[in-house]
Amino acid sequence: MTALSVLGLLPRTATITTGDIRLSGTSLLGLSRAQLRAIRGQHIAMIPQNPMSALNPVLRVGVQVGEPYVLHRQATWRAALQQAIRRLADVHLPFPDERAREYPHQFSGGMQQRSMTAMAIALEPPLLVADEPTTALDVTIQAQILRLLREIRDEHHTSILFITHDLAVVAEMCDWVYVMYAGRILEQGSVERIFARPGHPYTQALLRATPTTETAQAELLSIPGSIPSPVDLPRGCRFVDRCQYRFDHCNEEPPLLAVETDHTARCWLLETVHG
Amino acid sequence: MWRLIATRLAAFVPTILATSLVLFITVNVVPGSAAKAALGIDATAQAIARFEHEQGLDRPLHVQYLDWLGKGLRGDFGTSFQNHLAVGPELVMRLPVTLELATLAFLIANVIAVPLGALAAYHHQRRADRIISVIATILGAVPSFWLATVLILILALTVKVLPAGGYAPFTEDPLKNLSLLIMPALSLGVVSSALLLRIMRAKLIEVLSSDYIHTAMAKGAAPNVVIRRHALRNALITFLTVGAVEFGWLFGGVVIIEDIFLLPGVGQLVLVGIINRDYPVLLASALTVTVVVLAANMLVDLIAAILDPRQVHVRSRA
Repeated sequence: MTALSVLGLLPRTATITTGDIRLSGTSLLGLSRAQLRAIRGQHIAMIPQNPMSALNPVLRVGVQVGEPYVLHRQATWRAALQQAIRRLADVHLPFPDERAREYPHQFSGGMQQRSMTAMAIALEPPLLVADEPTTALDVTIQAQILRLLREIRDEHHTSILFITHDLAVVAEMCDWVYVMYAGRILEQGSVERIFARPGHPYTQALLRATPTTETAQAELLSIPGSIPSPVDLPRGCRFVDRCQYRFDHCNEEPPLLAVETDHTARCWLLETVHG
Repeated sequence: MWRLIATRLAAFVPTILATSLVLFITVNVVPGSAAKAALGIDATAQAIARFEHEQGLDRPLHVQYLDWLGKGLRGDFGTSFQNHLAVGPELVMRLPVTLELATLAFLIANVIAVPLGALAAYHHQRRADRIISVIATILGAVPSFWLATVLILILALTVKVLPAGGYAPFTEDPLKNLSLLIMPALSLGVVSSALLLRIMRAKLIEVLSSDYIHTAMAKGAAPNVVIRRHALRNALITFLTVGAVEFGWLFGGVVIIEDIFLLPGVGQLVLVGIINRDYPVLLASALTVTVVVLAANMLVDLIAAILDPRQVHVRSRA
């Protein structure tokens, strides 16, 4: 949902009620459809969760990767295909000129995600939104795709908004982390600080629930209870029903409070500690 | 691809054989006497026996079937009990009329169904969608013979812009041919567009909610590009399969419309064959309809295979 709203592609039944979406200082919410279309693909591009279903089954991969050049640069299809082959080479797809003529179903999952990445970086957008880009892939391919994304970040100077529930991936990929729960940011800070000193009980529980190779565990730790329904959210703190530290003050929603420099969390406990 | 064509062709032969057998049995089991129909109710028992012996109708059924099948394979479909004309050449003459009528009707149905279905799907659950769905229901509820009568009443008898009936071959007078076929084609096509429209709408709604459509929109493609380049082709794969069935219905369902507009097509021959118990005529014309329907289905399977690269690759690997 976060990824779709950033791209302005929310379903018709959904609207953004509060907050703002800004790209390099411009608000995207006030833009017309045509202005948004000009931004999609050129300034923001998306890497999807499931590359198999995100590729059109009846179009050649080269056509799909090259399409942004036709849409935004008024390129001919011939020129766009040449660019597509170059981009496929950028994402280290072997034999890119032959592969560009093939269809998605002839690709493996890793190759499909490389193609989606090639499509996303086609016009070198300053922001990539990667929505759980490795969930549908097995572990070795995951590592390859993550390495590729880091390489793109460094070589093309691209910012990546990386959405994931995998804390190991967060530790490996991110500079700045937002911990989200039931549609709210509960904690934010640099990756080192969040992992070293998690400020919110939710983040702490998440980190405890991550299995490690060092300590053998009989059973995986989990957070008791389940995530509240978005139509029936608890009053006050979103995490209140499942929090082991809850107290009276929690029926009022806390603001983001400082844990340390450049690190805040939405929990009243921090006020108690500091105050 | 060639493998696909070969498999489809191989399945063609047994289907035709099975259909011919079922047709033959049905025609012979249905009550009514060919001899009485040909000679009149006052015919003597002697005359009837002579007629049945002459036509070979007194032989066992399986002998009759094999005899008919053997001759049919050589292109000889016998002569009509009624006017003693050879059935084969008669069919060859009439087939183009019905084919042209069914094709025209099919084109009209698609010209209505595809854009309106796409429009409804794009505006899913909004006003345009509701209006189009109501129109589709109305079109589907109109019987084609009624529409034909109304068209004749308005266009031929009141406004007098089109002739009410008759036929002229396209090769001789294309303009006259079209002016004679447009009303029958409309009355068939408009009615069958209703089903096609609903299929198009449903399939496109499904396609438009898929991930690759999100991908296309995330690239910054405008709605018309999303529909044309990314959605329509995927929706057409299913749509065509239904289209083939619909074409078969059009081809087989022209009986009444051909009669109303005095078109000398295969449908009229079927009608005459049934009324007169004219077995050779009935069998051959019904079989022709079967062959055309099967051919249309095969053609559509091949087009679908061209549109959908997955089908070709999966089958050629197997």
